[in-house]
Amino acid sequence: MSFQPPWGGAFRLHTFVHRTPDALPVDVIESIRAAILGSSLLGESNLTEQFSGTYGFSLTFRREALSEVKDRFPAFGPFLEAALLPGCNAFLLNPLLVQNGRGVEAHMDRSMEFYVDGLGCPIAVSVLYVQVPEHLSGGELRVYHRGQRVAALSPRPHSLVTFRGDLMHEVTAVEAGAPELSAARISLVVEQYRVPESLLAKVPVFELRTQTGAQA
Amino acid sequence: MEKWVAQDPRQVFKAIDDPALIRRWYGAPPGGVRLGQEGGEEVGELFRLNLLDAKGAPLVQTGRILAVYPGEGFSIQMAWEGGSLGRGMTRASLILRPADGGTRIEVRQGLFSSPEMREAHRVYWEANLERLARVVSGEAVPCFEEFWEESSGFVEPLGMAAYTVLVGMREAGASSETLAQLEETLYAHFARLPEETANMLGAVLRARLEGVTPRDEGRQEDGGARTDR
Repeated sequence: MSFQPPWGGAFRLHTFVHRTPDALPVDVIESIRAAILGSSLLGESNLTEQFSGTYGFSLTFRREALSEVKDRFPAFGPFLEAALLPGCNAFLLNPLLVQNGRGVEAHMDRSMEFYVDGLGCPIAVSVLYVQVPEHLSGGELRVYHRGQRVAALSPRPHSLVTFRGDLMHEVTAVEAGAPELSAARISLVVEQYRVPESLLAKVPVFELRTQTGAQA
Repeated sequence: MEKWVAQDPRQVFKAIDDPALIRRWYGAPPGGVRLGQEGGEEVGELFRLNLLDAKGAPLVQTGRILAVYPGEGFSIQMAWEGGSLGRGMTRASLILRPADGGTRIEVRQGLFSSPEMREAHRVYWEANLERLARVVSGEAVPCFEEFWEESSGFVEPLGMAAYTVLVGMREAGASSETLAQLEETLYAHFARLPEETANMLGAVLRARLEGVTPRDEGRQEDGGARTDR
């Protein structure tokens, strides 16, 4: 195999985060917002305890199921086209809704270890800010490399943030501006993994998960 | 055993309570490496700490945190699989006491099956507390798990070689400008390597790291049937 630049060429050793303002047209992001808030899958987060009190659902898929994902969630298609890195072959997609008084404690994404023990962290994590309440206070994304904070990003509407998957990160508590679910800080997140071919069969081609478990 | 550090107990406890810090100091035997931990995120939950000893042989510490005393320390139950630290289950406590403007760290452990086991665990804790002192002083003690996670963005032997060179220079204090230039140079040139050459260099690197000789490789391929002239 010829030499592959690290992180699919998206990052360097001293580059931890990219932010693209106005990553998608307003009407596309509004469609994503409507799809998330209108989804029957939406419920309390099924992710790790660090996500306690937040809302969402998750979708695991391999690259070969990308068209199926777009069929099932057409509104998410433009986000996936904009965010997915070419060298990655497995993904965990999840809307994240954070209301007043809630945040996400510091953690490193390892969602795919649910299927592949010891796989570790993703190559990158991409976050699209779907709804940022006008008077939002808090809800900052903080990113850490070896214990040192390397980025603190206030959510900006319609922006796309991608950070390296080996970084610890947190969302500080939302202090005000998001009193109910429909007015929450809403982001659409995709963890992007490069799973060795020999292990890829352990990752479901397509699996929806909510707090009540897996769904077809 | 005891060790005094200049920082106050609150600062020392942070290195115990913060998962990003505890992995920099806790677990590895003298000269060994902490590879990673499974479980044990909650008090009472079983954990399994995967380690290598000073000779690179695997060993495992299993156990559970029995109690955490906020700001003051913790108690733990532990046993070993592999290595020379015995097989019996022991209990240990690590307590932080304000002393002389800093903290006296007290470790108590027992019961041991023999004086040799007690001495082996004294040496074990000495290595751990030495790292703890460095962590609380603000030193970025080298941590396998941190480098492992960071290196996950790199692929194939040549990627790993590039990672090792670059991070080795970073840890040695090279400026970010120097590193950035070197990164671009390496990636630009490596990308021009014919795939055949990249594969061959990768094979050499793997063989060197695994410590095998070409003759060993030939024997393995022949199922050991070939005899030397």
